[in-house]
Amino acid sequence: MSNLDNKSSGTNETQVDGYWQDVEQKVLDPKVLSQEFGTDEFDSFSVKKSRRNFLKIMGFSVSAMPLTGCIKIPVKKALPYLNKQDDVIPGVANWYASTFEGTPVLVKTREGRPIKIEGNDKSKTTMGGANARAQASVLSLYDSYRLRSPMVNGSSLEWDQFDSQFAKAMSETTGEVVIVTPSITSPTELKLLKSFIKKYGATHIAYDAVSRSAFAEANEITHGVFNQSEYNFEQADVVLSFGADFLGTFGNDVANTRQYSKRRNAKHPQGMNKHYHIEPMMTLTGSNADYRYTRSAVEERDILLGVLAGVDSSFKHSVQSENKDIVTKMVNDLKASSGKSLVLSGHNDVNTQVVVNKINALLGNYGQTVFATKTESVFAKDADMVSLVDRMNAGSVGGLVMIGLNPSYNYFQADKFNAGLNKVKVSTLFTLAENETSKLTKFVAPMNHTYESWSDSMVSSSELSITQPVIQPLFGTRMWTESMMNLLGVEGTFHDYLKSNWSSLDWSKTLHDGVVIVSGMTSAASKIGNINSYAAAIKNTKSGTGLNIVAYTKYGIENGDMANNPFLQELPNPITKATWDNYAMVSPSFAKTNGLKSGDEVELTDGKIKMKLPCIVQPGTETNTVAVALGYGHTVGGKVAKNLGRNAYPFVSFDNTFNYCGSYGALSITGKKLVLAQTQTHHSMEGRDIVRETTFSAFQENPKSGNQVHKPKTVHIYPAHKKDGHQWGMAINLSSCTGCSACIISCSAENNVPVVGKQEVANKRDMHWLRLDRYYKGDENQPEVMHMPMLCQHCDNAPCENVCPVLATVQSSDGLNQQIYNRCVGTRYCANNCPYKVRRFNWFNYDHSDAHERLALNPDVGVRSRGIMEKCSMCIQRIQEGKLTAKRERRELADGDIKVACQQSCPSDNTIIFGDIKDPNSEISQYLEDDRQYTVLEELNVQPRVNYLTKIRNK
Amino acid sequence: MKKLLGALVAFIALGAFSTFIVVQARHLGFNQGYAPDQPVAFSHKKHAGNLEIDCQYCHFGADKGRHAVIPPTALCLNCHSMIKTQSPEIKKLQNAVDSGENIQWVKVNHYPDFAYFNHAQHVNVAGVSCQKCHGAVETMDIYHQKEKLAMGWCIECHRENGIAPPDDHAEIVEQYKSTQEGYPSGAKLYKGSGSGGDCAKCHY
Repeated sequence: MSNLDNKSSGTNETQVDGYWQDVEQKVLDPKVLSQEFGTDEFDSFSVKKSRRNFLKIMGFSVSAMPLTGCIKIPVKKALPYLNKQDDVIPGVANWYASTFEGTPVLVKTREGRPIKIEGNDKSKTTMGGANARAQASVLSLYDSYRLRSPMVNGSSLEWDQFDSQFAKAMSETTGEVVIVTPSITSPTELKLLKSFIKKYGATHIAYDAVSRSAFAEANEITHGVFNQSEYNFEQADVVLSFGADFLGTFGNDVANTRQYSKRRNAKHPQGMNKHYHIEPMMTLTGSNADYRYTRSAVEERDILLGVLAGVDSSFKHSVQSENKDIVTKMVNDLKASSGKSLVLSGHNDVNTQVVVNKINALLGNYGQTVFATKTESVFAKDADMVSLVDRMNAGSVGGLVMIGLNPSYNYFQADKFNAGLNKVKVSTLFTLAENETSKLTKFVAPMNHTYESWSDSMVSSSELSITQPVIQPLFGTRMWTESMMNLLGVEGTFHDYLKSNWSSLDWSKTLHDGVVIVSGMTSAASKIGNINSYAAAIKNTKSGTGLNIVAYTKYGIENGDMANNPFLQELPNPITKATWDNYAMVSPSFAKTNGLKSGDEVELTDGKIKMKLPCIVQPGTETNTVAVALGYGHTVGGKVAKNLGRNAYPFVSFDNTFNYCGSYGALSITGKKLVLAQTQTHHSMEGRDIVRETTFSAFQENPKSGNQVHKPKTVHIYPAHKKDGHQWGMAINLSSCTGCSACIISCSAENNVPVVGKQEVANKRDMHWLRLDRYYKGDENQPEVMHMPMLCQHCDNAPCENVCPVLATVQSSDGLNQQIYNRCVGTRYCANNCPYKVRRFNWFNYDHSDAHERLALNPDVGVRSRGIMEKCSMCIQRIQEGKLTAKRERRELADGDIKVACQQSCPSDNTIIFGDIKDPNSEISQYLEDDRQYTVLEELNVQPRVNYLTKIRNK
Repeated sequence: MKKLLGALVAFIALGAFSTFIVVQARHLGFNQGYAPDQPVAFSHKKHAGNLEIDCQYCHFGADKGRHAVIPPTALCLNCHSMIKTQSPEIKKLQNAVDSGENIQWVKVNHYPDFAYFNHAQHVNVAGVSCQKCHGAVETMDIYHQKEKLAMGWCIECHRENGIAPPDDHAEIVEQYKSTQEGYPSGAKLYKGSGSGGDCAKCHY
C-alpha cells in the first residue's frame, strides 16, 4: 500500500514541505510489493478451488443446517472456589502496589492473576508513569520457558535435595567465595547479602552487562561517593547531552521523562527548556532535541573539551573549526543559565564523566539539577568483574554465586568467562529461565519473578518502593532471597525478614501505597580539584581506523534479559521502527557511497569477530559509524529469543570500564537480502500538514503559529449525531510526547492485542491499535524528528462507518466509533476507507494457546478471531467501568475518573488527555480551546475526536 | 413455460426451506428451559423459597461486580457443618472441601464471550429483582433457564424502561435531578449514562 502511495509522491526526496519518512521512500520495489500479497497465506484452505468443489461445499452446508437444530449447547462445567479469599470477588479487579526494575507500579489482578501493570501515581519519583518494559513485564511472568525446578549438574531434583547438596558443597568449598549480583538498590537484600558475606568470607561484586560503572567511579573521584548521580530535569533550562539517552535507555527513564516533558510545555512558569544533543547515532532522546548534531565519537570528545574550555578558563582547548560555532552557542546558553543547566554524557568512560561533573560543578548545577548523594546501594564496577574472571581462570575461586545474571552471554569475553566458570568447583546461578550461563553452571536455582517476590528498592535516594508478590509462584520456584536464607540458616520467610527490617514503618500503609519516603537526600560534598589530567586523557584517547562499531542499548530490549518477551520484540523501535531483530545501522551517506539499502545483508568485522546481519539505513547516523544493538543472538533461550538477531556483546571492549563504542572495523556487502520487519514504510505524509510545528519564539509572538492552516468546513450529507450524555474526546500534546512507545504496549496488554511475529510484521500486518508515526525533516544526516501517536480518531463523520455493509462499525451516542466484532464479516472496506489507516485486520487466529500466557489476557475484552476487523475502542471497557463505579457510588462521573490505558501509562507529563468534551470544566475542554489545537486531515471534514497540539521546538 | 414454472416452484421451495432454516437457526444456542441435573441435588425452592435465604447470601457478587458468583463450597458449610451433616448430598460438599477436589456444577445460564454483562449494573444500580431475569427461582426444585437470555430479550426490557433509544432520556434525567437529592437506588437512568442501545455498551 505504502509503496503505491510512494509512487505517486514522485521521486523527489525532499517533499513539498520538507518532511520525509524513509530514505527509500522513492523506491518502488516490486519484491516488497509482492510481500503485501503473499502467495502462501491461505494454506489452510487446502481444498482445490473449483466450481465443482464450491458446489459440493455449498450442498453440504445447506443440508447440514437443519441438523444443527437438534444440537444442544455442549455441557459446560462451572467450578466455584472451594474456599474463597476474602478480598477476591470474581469479576472485580484488585490492585496491588509493587516495583519493577526501580519503577513503582500497580499490578491489576483478576481472580488472583496479574493482567496489567500501571505506574504508581503515589510515587514522588515517577509520578505514575511506567515504561515499555514494565508494561510488558507481565508476559515475562507467564513465560512458559521459565525453569520449573532446581538442577544440579544438569539434572532436576527437589528443593530439599538441592538445599542439602548446595549447603554441603558450599561448606566444602576451598578458595575464594564470590557472590555476583547486578547493581542492588534493595536495602534488605543487601542486609541479607552481608550475612552471606560474613558466613563464607565472601566478596560481593556487582556486574551490569550494560554498565554505568564509570558514572559511579567518576562520582567517587569528584564527590567521594560510589553512586549514580540523580538529576532534576524540571529545573534545567538548558540540557546538553553527549549521547546520553536519558529518556530511553539511560536508567530512570520514567522519572526523567516526567520531569523533562514538564519543561517541554511552553506555558511552564520557568519557560521551555532548550535541549542540545550530540551523538553518533540517533537515540530516542536525540530525536527530541531542539538542536541535534550528528558527530562521531572523536568529534564528540572534541566538543566536550571545547565546552569544558568554555566554562573553565584554566583549561585551554581549540575545537575543530566546523564545531566552533556550535560550542560557542552552547557555552553561551549554559553560562546564561548557570545553576539551571545540565550536562550529561552517555559514555561509560571515567575521564569523560569526571569532565562532565566538573562542567556541572563550574556551572553551579550541583544541588540544583544534579545531585551526588550518599547511598548504601551497591553499583557495578566493571574492573571488579574483569578481575574476577581472571581469578576464576587462575583457579583461585572455589565458590561462585550469581544472581539473575548471564555473563556467558553478555560478558565481553564470554569464552574466557566460560573457561573460568569451568574451573570453579561450586558454581551457582539463580535465574528465571535457562540461559547460556545456566548450561555451564553446576547448581541452578530457579528464582521467582518480581511479581512473585518480596523485596524493596530505593527508587531515588529518599524514596523506597516495596515489591510485593501478587501471585503464588507459578512454576514451583523460590525467591532467591529465601534460598539464601535457607543456606544461611535464617529462620522465617523473607517477608518476615523484610518486615522486621522496616519495623519503623506502618507496614499495611506502606504495602498499600507501595512507596514511602524513608530518608532525606544527603548530598556529598564536592572535592573536585583540577581535572586537567582527565581532560588530557580524553584528548589522548586513541581511536582506531575504519568504521566505528557502536554496540548500543536498544529501547525495551536493553541488555537482553527480557529478550523472550514477545511484547518487547514486536514493539517498533521508536527510531528505526524495526521489530524482532537487531541490525547494522548505517548513515544515508555511507549507504549511498557503498550502494547499500535497508535489508541488505552485511558482514561486520572488527578483525576478530565476524557477524552477518541486515543493515538499516538510518538518518542521523554519523558517516563513519555503524551501530548494532545489544541483547540479541541468544543461543539458549525461549522460542522468542533463541537465535533471533546476532550477539553484539563481543564488540564491547574493556578499558578500565566497559567501552561500548571503542571497536573499529569494516563492513562488507554479501549480496543477500534479508527480511526486515519494519513498520515505518507504512505511512508517508504525502506533503500534507499532518504534523504541525512551530518554534518557541514564533509561538511567543503568535500562539497560533504553525497552526494557521484551518481548511474550510464543508456541508454534511448526513444528519448530525445526537449528542446527549457524555461526549468523549482526546487530545495529544505533540510537544511533550517523546515517542517512547510505552503506550503501545500498555494498549496491547489492556486490549488483548495479539503479537503476530516477524514475518507478519514484514507483511505489514502488525496489529497495534496505537502506533507512533515518526517523521523526518531537513538534512538526512542531521534530521529533525517528529513523533506522532496515531490511533483511531473516532471521527464524527467517520468514513469507515458508511462503507460497512453490515453496520459493524457505527457511532455511539457518546461519540465513539464502535467496532462490533460479532457483527463484522471482514470485508475490510472500512480499513480501505480510513484516511488514518488505523484499522487492523485479523488475518489469522493468532495464537493464544499457551496455557500460561493466556492468563495475561484481560477478561473484560474479547479475543478477536480470524476475519475480524479491530481498532482502538478508546478503552470502552474502562469507560464502562468508570461509569458503573460512579453509578454504584450514586454520584455523577467526575473528570479524570476514567483514564484510558495509553494515557495512564504515559511517562510524559500531560501528553495524552482524555475526557468529556461537553463538560466545559473538564481538562480536555481546556486543551480543545488551546491555540495549538488541530485535527489531522481537517480538510476531509471527518471531524475527529482525537485532537493534536502543535509541536514546539525551542529554537 | 413448463421450465419457467419448474424454476418458480424450485425457487419458492428453496425460499420456504431457507426461511425455515433461518427461523430455526435463530433459536440456536439459547437453551430456554434448560434444566440439567446437578452433581449435588440442591433445591433453590428449599433454600430461597421455604427458608427465605437472601439470594445474595450465596450469590454475593451480584451487587458488586460482573458475576453473581456460584457460591464457594465452603460457604455451603457455613450452615451445613451443623445441619443435615449425615445427608449423602451434604457429605459430597464436606468431601470436596476435605479432599480439595471441587464439585463441578453444570452451568445453566450462558452468554457468549463477545457480550459483556454486569450483574452489579442491574442489581445494584438499577434495582432489578433477580426474578426478573431468572424467573421465580424460589419455586424451582431443579433450577432451569426461564428466559431466553438473547439480545432481543435484553433490548426489549431496556426499551420498556426507557433506557434505550428511541426514547429521549435527557428529560427523565432532569426530572430526577429536580425532584431528588442525588440519585436513588433503582433510578431508571443517570445523567451521562449514555444510551443503552449502543452496540459497544455490551460488545467489546
